[in-house]
Amino acid sequence: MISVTQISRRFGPLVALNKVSLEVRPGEVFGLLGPNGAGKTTLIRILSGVLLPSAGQAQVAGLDVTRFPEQVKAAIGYATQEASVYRDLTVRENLEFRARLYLKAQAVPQAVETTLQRFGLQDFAHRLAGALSGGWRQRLALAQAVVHGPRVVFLDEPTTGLDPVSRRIIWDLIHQEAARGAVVLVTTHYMDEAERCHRLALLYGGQVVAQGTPHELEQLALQQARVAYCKTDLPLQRIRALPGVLDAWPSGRGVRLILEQQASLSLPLQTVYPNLEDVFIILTRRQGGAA
Amino acid sequence: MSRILALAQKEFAQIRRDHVLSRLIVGLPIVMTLLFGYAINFTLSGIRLAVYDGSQDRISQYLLQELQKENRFTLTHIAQNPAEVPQAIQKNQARVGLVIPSGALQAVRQDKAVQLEVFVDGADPNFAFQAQAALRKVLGDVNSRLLAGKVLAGTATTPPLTPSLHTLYNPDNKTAWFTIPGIIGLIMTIFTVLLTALSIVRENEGRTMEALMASPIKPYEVVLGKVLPYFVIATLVSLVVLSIGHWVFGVPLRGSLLLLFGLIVLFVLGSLGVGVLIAERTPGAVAIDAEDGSTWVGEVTLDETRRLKGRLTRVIKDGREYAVNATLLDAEGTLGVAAKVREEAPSIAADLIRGSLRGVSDYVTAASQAKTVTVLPGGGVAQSSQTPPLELFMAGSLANLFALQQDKKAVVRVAQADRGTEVVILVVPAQDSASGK
Repeated sequence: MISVTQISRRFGPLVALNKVSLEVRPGEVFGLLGPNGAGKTTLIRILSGVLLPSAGQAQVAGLDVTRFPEQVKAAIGYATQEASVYRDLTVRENLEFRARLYLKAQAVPQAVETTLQRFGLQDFAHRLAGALSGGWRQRLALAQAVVHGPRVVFLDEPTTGLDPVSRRIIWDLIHQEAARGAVVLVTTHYMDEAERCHRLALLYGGQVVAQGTPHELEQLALQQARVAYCKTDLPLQRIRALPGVLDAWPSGRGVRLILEQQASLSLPLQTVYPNLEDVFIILTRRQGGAA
Repeated sequence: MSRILALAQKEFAQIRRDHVLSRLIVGLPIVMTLLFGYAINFTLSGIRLAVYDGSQDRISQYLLQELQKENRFTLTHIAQNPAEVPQAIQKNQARVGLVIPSGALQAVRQDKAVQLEVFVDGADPNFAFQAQAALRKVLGDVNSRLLAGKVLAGTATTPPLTPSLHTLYNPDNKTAWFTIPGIIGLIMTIFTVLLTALSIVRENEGRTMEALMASPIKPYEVVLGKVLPYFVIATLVSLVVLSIGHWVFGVPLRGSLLLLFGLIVLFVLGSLGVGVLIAERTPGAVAIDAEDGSTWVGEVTLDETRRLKGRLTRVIKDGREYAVNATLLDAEGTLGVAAKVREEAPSIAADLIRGSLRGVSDYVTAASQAKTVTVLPGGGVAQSSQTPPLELFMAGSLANLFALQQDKKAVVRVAQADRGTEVVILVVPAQDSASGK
């Protein structure tokens, strides 16, 4: 449903995307994970027909984005980084406006009503969007991105700035959309959150560093390095300077370490299972070293 | 104090980075100054004059000669009867009219006064004063010359040429009659151009434009959708201003109200920019100068592959015009010419402004050339001949300075082939191809 082949995009001398390829299937929540500036938003903008790629091909909902941007736009739903809702419109007005951009007039009330229900927004229907709390506004942003029942949904950092409870709710709603049969592409830089995606692509410096299920990525990382916990009073700088230590940072009363596979330290190490943050650091380190 | 300065500094930084705003703030006063300095010259010269000369004698010839001296007046219309003179002003062929009665020479010889009928276009009071003053001065000069001879002969006492002044349209030179219509023009321009631009800017600032761009809505639909509310409001507001002008300041409304309303709508549409309406496949006129000195004229359209496809229908060579059927190929022999197509959201606001200004200037040009207007939605025919007020002319000239060049029209989608692009003109059915640029 989303198929990206060797997409590149340059802004003058800056290479924002470098031969990115990925595949997203229907019913899947696919995460684009990467730090700020990795090219996540650029990729989403290309896939939504807003931006033309410098090279490469991409298909969204079976349509080539460069040749049929209009049809692609009609098939997708899009929520931007900052809540793309009009703060001076009510919740219902926001949904109605969005729906009218895509749907025939007679289909609008029904679409708005079911969306209000699905997202639990009925009680706020007449509230101004600007008066909602961040979590609810983000919920509205998500609702207005899918009010027209798109086959493909792009969500650009839908949970940025939200508290854990709100994030959980937003992720439930995202999965609800996937269960409906939509393809959902989510960008995030919250590593812990990425585990909620069916599959992930790690984007770093405009390139896909790795791609797969969270578990696959963890295994991939484990082939390259090992993660350990060490209860020690040694200063961080000393530990980082030790041979075989790739990275170290404080964790609780001790230090969390990323070690070379064969590294042997005279420290009481406790091997731990890597989380996605470790995975990200391991995989992008290797990328940095190879480049 | 430091807080005030901090805010002021932030504001400065924002103005500097807002291209539209900074251009307006810096550009407008400069252009206005230049306009007032050069273009709007209140010392009138070359005032267009319509004359009915009933005498056709030495006196009338001398008077006309004097009037045209130092380029004070330019004779633009010679009437066949006295009634034609005010009509010429009505038709905007002239702004001052002069009727010289028959037998001027005899009258002067018999020491009688020659009653000249003078008509002045009073739509602009300032102009009316200036024109009257210029005319009086010439008449004074002529009179003193005529008298000089007579005084020597010891016969004359009364000045022979006496004008009878008629100020048309605004006989009492009421300022309100002149400013209210101008204010309507001003309101329309501010509403339609600035407010629409600002609303687009607001959309950009709220980052909601990004989401709009990713929806099936097309850029021109965004512009039109944004413009529509302001169009309605501006039309209503101008009617309110018109009502105030009429009932409070007594600005007379003569002729068809419907026509006036129609013209207001037309002006707003003009303000909103001819360019906005130039959709993708609207043909544009093109003229190509070929190497052999001939000029080919026809139409171009922009196709989906972003090439300009051309069809040339006429060729002008050595002062003669021939009908042809030719098509445009590029230097490689492919049909059409590759065009640069611009369609960028961030520049919409700027383009909109420029496009609208173009519209204003087009309207003013049209209005100042219009002789009779016969637009009536109901099918009726109406006549109007109001010269646009000075404000409109100013807006027009101003617009011309800011507007896009004629060969680069369009706002939402600009297709442009560079000047000097090599093209091949293929003439069908005759096997004649000429290379041109």
